[in-house]
Amino acid sequence: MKIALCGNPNVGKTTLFNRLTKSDEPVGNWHGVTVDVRTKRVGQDYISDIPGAYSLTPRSPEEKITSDAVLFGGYDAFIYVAEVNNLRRNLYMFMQLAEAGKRAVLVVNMMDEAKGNVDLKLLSKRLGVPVIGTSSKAENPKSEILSAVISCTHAIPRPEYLSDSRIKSVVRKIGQPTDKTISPEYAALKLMEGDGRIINTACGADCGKACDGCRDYPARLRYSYIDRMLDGAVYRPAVPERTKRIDRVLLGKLALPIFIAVMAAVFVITFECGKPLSDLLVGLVERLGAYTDEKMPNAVGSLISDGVIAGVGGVLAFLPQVVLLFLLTAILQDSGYMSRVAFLTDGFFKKFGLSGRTAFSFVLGLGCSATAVCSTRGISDDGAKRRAAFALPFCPCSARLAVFTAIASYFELSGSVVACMYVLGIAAALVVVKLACVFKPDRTEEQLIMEMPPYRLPNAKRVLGVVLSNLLSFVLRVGSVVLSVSIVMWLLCNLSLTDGFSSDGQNSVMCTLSSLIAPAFAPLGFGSWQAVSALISGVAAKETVISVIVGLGGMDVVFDSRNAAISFMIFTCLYIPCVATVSALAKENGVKSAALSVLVHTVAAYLSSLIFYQTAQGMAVNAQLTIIIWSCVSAGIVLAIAIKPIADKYKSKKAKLKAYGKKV
Amino acid sequence: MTLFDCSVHSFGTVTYVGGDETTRRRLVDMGVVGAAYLVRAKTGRAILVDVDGISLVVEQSTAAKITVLEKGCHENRALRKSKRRQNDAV
Repeated sequence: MKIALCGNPNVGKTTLFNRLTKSDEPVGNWHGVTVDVRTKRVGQDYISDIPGAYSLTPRSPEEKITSDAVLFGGYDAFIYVAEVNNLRRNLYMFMQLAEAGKRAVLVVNMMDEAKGNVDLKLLSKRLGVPVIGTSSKAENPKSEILSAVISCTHAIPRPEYLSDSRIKSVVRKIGQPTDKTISPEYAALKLMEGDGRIINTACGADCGKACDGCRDYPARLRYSYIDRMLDGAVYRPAVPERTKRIDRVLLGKLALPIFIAVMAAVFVITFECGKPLSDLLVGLVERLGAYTDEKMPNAVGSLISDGVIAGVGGVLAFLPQVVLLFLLTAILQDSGYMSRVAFLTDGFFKKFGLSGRTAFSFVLGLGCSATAVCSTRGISDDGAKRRAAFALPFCPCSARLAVFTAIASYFELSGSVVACMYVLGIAAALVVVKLACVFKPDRTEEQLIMEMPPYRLPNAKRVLGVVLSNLLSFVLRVGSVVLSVSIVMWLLCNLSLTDGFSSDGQNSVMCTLSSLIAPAFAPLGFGSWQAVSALISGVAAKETVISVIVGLGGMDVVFDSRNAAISFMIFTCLYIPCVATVSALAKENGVKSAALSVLVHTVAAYLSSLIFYQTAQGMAVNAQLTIIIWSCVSAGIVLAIAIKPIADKYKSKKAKLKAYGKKV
Repeated sequence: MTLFDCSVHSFGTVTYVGGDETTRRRLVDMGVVGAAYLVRAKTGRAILVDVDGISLVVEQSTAAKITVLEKGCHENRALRKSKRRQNDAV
């Protein structure tokens, strides 16, 4: 059987999918986490996880995936997941499944958070389908749900409103749809709603005139039927008082200072608390490398110590900071605060042609740029989606964090330097987006309509699950991509076509290639072939930048000063994203956009590093102070762009008042 | 009266949703029409409103197209306390 999980966003579909299929797909306490249909085999059956949607009439590319999968995906049955505290709204799409004649069972999730009485047996009797209650704390409902789906031999009983006289009159006008998989009543309802796809694909363009002025009628019919089904079976909850009380503080007059304080706390805890353990791991890696060198003073020993241990170990040594960042963002996500961030930042992002929904993608970008680019699929406006996807790779990811912390640790730079990299990255993203708006203005704006989940105490199991999942993919990347690139780079950096094995790397293949372009990087402070080799390897995966530097002699060989090291950090922060991100961008925006992104990243990185290094050398002041000044300047540019419309409005009002005063 | 005109803590019923078709459809599908609302917060560009037990963030331009029937306004606790103190003093 082909079975699909569907339902509204943020109801727990993916969590249930993971339990049914023993998978580890990413989850989060906001919508837009699942952006693709994922399928796993369970015994003889196939279970798919479909992105959430509020209706089968799609309004975004993400909802179109859902609508197409549900209506035309050829599934034998559906597991419709609804949230117990939101049943009224969640059952809206369930009614559309019933109208389309689909087979489904209803799973009412988060039963442990139910605030009142819920009579699932009565609901099941009224709807005519099996209804199963579940929660993350309950036993795995796999056998109960799957047996209910398999034994469900008939479609969801037709809702009685399908016999409504207005629907029947539309059915008489349109007749049988050309697409036989769609029932006449369903087609009639979609025509009344003005669903262009059904009109064109199932009924023909002429049918659009069959219905006039009744666009909201189907929604009223459905909700009135849902209200009758739920009456007496399920209580109608209000927004929890706790959520209202907390929102009064977090979204009140102190909203922005609280938000800045929270983000600052995340960074300070990540860098300062992770540092002691990270230093310990760096020491262990160095001792292990030295021990291997001593025991195996030959080419194989060099491969193991300089290639594998230095390469992979150099990245894993900064795992504490990466884990802390994953943990803190997972806690913020699970608590429900991240949705409030979108509300607070919507006005700010609008100045750059984006919306508050981009805040989610920026937060995802702190973990992985490729994931962040994919998450833009949930943005309904095409222009805003393309701009967001184009800009997101500038946001420093966890791989770049490993590079920043390694360099900062070696040169004893404070955590503020690493924070400056994040400021520079985000500022670069916003400036690029603003320039895109100037060169390619968009008349339409994405209308922000977003649901705020209630606050809840972060659940340790859920948070640890997210952290472990992110950590596992980070470690797997290190174990696969970083290890392979480290070995390949060791071979290229230690083998010469003429001299064979060369322990210092001179005359090696990579030395020859990198030396051709290294002079171009001299004005940036790192014109050595080792630095260029590290940057080239970083195109595969950013974590390998550190592993290559360590393998080619270490930081003191590559950088002759703190200015050079910080300049390199800036370049790493802004240059070409990794291959995974570029391919995600090509998939979302097209190959031309991905190619343009590579060019823009390279130019931005080069210019930024050049400006920093030349001014730092010229001014001859403390390197840390210089980068802090430059990051403040870039933040200032972003703020100036943000407040310019307000300043223009103020000026025009002032001018009008002046003109009025003169007239009087 | 539109949702845009409502002050923070005002409450009532949503009577009609206008605006562009995509936004309108989305709000109608969420069951906003005929539902009770309570405005909880406003920023420069967005409004946080409780509609029928769920919290929604809506842009001000969209809120300007949502027609409501306002029934009243919850004063906040500080304002109530201040008014009580003034009444006691009088």
